[in-house]
Amino acid sequence: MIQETPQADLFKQQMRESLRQETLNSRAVTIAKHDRVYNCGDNDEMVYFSESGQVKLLMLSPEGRECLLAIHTAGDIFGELCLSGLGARLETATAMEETILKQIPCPEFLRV
Amino acid sequence: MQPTRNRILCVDDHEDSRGMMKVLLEMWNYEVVLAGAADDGLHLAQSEPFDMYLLDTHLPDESAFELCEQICGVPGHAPVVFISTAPYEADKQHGLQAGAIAYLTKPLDFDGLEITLTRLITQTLGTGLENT
Repeated sequence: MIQETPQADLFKQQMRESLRQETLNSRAVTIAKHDRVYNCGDNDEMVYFSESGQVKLLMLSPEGRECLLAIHTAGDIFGELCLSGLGARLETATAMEETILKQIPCPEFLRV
Repeated sequence: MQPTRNRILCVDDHEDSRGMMKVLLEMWNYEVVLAGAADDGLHLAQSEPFDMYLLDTHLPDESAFELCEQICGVPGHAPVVFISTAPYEADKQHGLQAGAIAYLTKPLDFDGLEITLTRLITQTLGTGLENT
């Protein structure tokens, strides 16, 4: 159920380090607390690598009710569903505190 | 005097998952009550106070979404969080429609789960996620 083993930790660390290296030249954006990274319905074809801060992913019902899907912290990747060619975002990403993200366009991410 | 620990009811039919969740949540200083079926979970929810409900989406006796609706039908109920292996949009919408405040998908990351539960319990009760 919960995948947390020393090997998984090591893999996670190596993956984060590798992404950190690969995104050295990627565009960094600073998102202020409460600001949106992207909105549900947006078509931005970017994968995000979190360097610091916290970002929550929320899904909204037609009535405006919200449901938390995940909270991402430093070293996490999110927004990768755009790699599937799905098109519009299905959720909204909002910074819970000042957050620094690396934006990686889909083609570049796939190349990495 | 010992500070009061937040109480979480965890409903999951998989014994190992329940056991693992209990160990994990107690490590984070939550008081944990376990149920292996929806009817046991509903009985506990109706008879004891909880600060959060963690529901697996796949339960043998009843839909976890129905259980969520029943819990959310009680005025002043604690937030319901689904923890699921089903990452599909339709399942997430189903959870949202049933009244869940969060829908988390497995595999779970320890750090992410702890941060999420702490945020939900300490900051969202009565304030809404938009304020966190």
